[in-house]
Amino acid sequence: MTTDTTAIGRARDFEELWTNPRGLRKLFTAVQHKDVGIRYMVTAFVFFLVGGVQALFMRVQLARPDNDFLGPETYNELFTMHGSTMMFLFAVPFLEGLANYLLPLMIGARDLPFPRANAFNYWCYLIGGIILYSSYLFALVPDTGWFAYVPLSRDFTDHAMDFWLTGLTLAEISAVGAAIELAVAILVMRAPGMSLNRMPIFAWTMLAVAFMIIVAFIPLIVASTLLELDRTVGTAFFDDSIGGNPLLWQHLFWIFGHPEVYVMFLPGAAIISHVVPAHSQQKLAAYPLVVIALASTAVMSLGLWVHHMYTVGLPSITMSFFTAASMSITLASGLQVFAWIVTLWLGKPRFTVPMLYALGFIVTFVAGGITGVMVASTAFDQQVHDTYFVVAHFHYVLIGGMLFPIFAGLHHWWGMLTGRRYSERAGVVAFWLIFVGFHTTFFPMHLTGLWGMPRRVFTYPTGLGIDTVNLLSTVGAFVIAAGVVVLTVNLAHSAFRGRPAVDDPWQGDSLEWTTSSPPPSENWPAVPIVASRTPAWDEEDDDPRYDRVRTVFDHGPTAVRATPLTTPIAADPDAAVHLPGPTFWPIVPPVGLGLVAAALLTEWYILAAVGLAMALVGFGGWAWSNESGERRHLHPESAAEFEFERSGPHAIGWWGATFTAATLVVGVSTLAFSALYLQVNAPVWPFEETVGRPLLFGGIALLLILATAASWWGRTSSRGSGQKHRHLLSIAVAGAAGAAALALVVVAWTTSGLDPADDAYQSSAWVLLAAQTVLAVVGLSATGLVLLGRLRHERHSRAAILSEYAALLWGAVAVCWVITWVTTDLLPLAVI
Amino acid sequence: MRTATRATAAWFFVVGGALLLGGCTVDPNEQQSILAPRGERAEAVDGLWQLMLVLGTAVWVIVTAALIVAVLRRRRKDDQDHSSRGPDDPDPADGRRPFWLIAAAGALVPAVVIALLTAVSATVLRDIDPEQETDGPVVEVIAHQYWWEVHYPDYEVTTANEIHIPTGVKVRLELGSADVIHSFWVPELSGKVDTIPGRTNALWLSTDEPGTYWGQCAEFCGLDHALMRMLVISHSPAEFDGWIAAQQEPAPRLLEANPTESVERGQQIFMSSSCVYCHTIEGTAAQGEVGPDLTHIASRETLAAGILPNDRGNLAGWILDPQSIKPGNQMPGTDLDGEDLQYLLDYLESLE
Amino acid sequence: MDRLERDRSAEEAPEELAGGNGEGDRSDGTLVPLLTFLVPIVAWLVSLAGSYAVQDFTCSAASSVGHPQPVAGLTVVLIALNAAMLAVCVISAAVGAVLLRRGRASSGFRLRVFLLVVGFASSLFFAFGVVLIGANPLIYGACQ
Repeated sequence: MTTDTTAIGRARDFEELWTNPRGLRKLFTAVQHKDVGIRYMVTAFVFFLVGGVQALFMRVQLARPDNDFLGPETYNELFTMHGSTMMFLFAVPFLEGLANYLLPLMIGARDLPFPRANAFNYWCYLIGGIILYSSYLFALVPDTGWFAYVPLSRDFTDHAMDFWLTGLTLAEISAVGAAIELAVAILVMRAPGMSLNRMPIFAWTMLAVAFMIIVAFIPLIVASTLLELDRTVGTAFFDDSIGGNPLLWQHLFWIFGHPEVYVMFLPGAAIISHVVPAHSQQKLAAYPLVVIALASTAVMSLGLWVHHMYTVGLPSITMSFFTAASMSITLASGLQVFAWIVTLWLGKPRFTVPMLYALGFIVTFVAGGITGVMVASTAFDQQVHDTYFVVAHFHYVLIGGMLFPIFAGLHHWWGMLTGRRYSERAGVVAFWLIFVGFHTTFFPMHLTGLWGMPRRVFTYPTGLGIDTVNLLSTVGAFVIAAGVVVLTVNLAHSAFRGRPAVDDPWQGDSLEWTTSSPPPSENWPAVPIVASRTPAWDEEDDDPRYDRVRTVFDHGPTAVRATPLTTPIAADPDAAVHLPGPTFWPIVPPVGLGLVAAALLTEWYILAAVGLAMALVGFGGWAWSNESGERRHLHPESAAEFEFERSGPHAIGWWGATFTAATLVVGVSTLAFSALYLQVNAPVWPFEETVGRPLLFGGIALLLILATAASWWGRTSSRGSGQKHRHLLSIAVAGAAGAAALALVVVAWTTSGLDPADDAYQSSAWVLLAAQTVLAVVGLSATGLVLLGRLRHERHSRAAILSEYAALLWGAVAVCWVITWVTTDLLPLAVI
Repeated sequence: MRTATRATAAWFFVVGGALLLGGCTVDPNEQQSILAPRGERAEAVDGLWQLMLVLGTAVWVIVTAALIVAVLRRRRKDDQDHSSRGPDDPDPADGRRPFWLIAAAGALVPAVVIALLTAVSATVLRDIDPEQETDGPVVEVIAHQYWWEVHYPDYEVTTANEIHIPTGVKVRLELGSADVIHSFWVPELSGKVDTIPGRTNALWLSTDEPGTYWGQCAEFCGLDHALMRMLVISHSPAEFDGWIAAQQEPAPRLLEANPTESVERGQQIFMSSSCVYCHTIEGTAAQGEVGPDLTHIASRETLAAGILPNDRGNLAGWILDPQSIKPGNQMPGTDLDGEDLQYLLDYLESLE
Repeated sequence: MDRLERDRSAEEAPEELAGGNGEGDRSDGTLVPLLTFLVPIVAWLVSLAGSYAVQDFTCSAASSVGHPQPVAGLTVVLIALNAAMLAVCVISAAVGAVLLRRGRASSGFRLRVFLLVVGFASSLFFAFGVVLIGANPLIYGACQ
């Protein structure tokens, strides 16, 4: 056999390995990042169109004073659904979809780290959206605003708000999952040589965004759960008569809500940081400053939430702390804006459609940023808060700062997404319609607000002198709509009928332009090696230290789908990631969860049992298939050098488990913060006495520590004969300790005499113990996976790494238990 | 493409000009404009706004001008340069000059402006601190879906949807809510403060000149959020005392002063109907607490929380069918016959 | 100096970096630069969250049970907290500046220089943020 035929055979095997099913089967089984990314973007775009139509209805109603086109009920439903749709069902999912598609291409990976979890997230999002919109079928459309302030949203008159809470919670869970996915990919799946100083801005941004989502979306999931409990079980979190506090909702909502704004804006800015260099043929200027800008934006965005609460009557000094933070964040945006301008200055700009959107973005976003500084001032904000001035401000920031970049990005990467070319002429027409329409709609709104029109009013009297400006806004809205129609038709037509695209139409600088458009199933037959910040403009690195990774991942490995894993800072290859093929398992649990939600909404509880069973079967089948098939014989030619199952941070599983553990701790900490907040604001706390069962609680703590320690002890994979016994013993001890802890938590929960409807202290303790029950089940499931991995595989490394992950999760459960205990028993003694 | 660029530039100037003009001009119909401040708090904020408007406009113009120059300097035609990849010069973008330029223009200069604005904003906020000592009367305002209940605890006066204050002093408002969160906002006098169940927020108002100022609920509070307005009426101190004295009169004394048959019939109709379950008329058996106090309803300028002028026709329409005027409010319609309705109106109109 | 020597030797022998073991990340001199980037972030978060939590929770807790608010003590705590966090940011910036100056002299391992630039600039950035937060107790009463 000559080397040539070997090479050809290898290439053929490799291609076969990466071939996917087509047609309908693909729709339900494909889990690769490009398929999931497209699904996200198409679904989100449909929601965008729906949200846009809702806005048009509102603008018609507001076209003239005292209009009776819509009644207040319909209008309130429309603005609730418009906000919720654009925020939760369009902006975040669309950007996640784009990131899903582009990130692996930009960082040189063959897929995202957990493709099946990724597909699972998409289905959760889709089903969440369907649940929210099914409220139209029952004429129970949510109508208390996208911010759902209590007590308005708490009073139980019908199920309308339950559609909102359950639907959006599913969508948020999906967002958190996607964030973990993207963060792990960016940290450890970058191409060899792509050290932090060579990472594309989009990757830096999505890393920052993932961090924000993990820290900020969990509080909203917790808040939604608490509100749902208030509505159904009658807990007291938001009921001021028994120790609750309506402001708690606002704190939790805006701890989510403000980072959310930057979750939308930062990817927009990142798209511009890619469009501007490519279309002016110049490297992005002052790259380190842009990195600082987006990192500090991500951090500071966590400290702005009170500026949505400047009118609730907080002390001046409290508000001023947050004014300081809101003002500081401006500098970060300033750096980015001037980085783009200088890049354009140094480069040779070309007026392509993406460039037009980028320029439109800069002028619009700067205006929105300036009004942002204005509303950061407490004194001024108290005047314009909840007026059309704010409506104008955030549409400048969101349409200008997020939608324009999305359109820029769509036109920039359209060839890569579809392999087709759109009509330039139609693209330019659409841009001008949208740009002019936008300013015609939203610029007058500054004045509408300054002249005294509050938000969320279904009509206004003539005496305010805002008739003309409102009419202008309505006209503008229809111009935007016309532009969006042209854009949609142009892109949709080109996707099916367009001329074939060339691979690299703009001579772009980032890595994705070095593969074909659209990329093949595996993205790169040979994994790229990166030697600069602009890899598409520079020669590939021939550094000899990357010889092995180059050889192994050139049309290989051929036994299993794989991509290299690199170190987080310097991006040196040190292991490999095994990637799954098509599977239908990830769609099963979301459908089950959807059925559970439907059961709660229809109060037809048999359905909940069916849904729960379905979810369990789904997760079980997923786990079973994960520990079988090719995984049983995981010995590709590369395994010696680039291991799939290295311990510690040299495997994606470690990162996944660590992030999951972090989300659990953030969740329980949010509950603890809520309890402490209620405590300091309530005149008495606890209302009678604390749970106060130190023996029981101490015992649970010890058991959880034992489960952690036992799992940690089982994380070795030496080749000795005793290894398997060691694993089994560790599983037995961890399982027994965990099960005992679960049983005792349930005992503590049910026998401590807590009535969640009595007062806020009991509500908090009750919910903390309930959460701990769920966490113990999570820990036990992890130990169950270790057992499955041990029984299904001969080799020791699989059980060893799974045991390590179980230890991480049990550790988080133990930490959560300590937080719970401190909150229920120690804080009431220590704090007045 | 060239025309498109020019259109871009033109558009920028249109928007910029509109921004400037918009800040300076005031619509003659204004009823509750932030730009026409009449009270100490609103005036302080207006000064801050003008400073920020000037600075903000300058920043926008500078950035946009820089952008236009940057874009037009070396722009490429569509059909050329397709072959070249990357910058001609190796890495001017990584040089030190762009770096420091961006650091200066993007962060250092803005840092100075921002620090200044933060300091000015903090000073204004301190000057208008809502918990300051006040020298005028205290008014309790309780927001309801969808109207405002107003008490003067010092004078034992209760009214609705109208807050009368004397000029020249700081009047302390204590704001509460009976149901959901509302927000008290009279733009010409002050920024807004929310009314939150379980919590009392404070605010002070001061006016130099007598006048009438419109306000409106500014936090979404349910179906009729848009139809929840109110009036602040400031009087000279002497007039204010007169108003208080008039409001302190219980209703029967009014009746004694002007006893006509139709008014007495009207009172009987009121007392024998469901009105009494929700409304109070001081000095009579009507002591309901769900709706507004009607003891001096005829003295008020508006009906239904600032959405109808208070005249006989509107009052009749409101009594017969409040749900079509303000859907979802708590008041049910009544089916009085024409004669009874006229008596009832006579009675209510006598309650000055 | 010790650390710097190691860095220089690392640059001269890049093959050693490639070793494929993750410990390479730490020993190639990126830990301190990374810390100059991460520490100011933590300092700013502590400054804001600490100021907010200490101030709001103390004042709320006192007023909700009708105790007098400990204004003087609170002011001291707030100023001390923010002064400490400002010091952390300034020290981080100084460390970054010194290492950067030396790093330039040794012709620069690019990743390390990049991290130092980022660390230095963001230290200054967050120092500014801490100043804006820390100035508030000088303007307002602690429970005002």
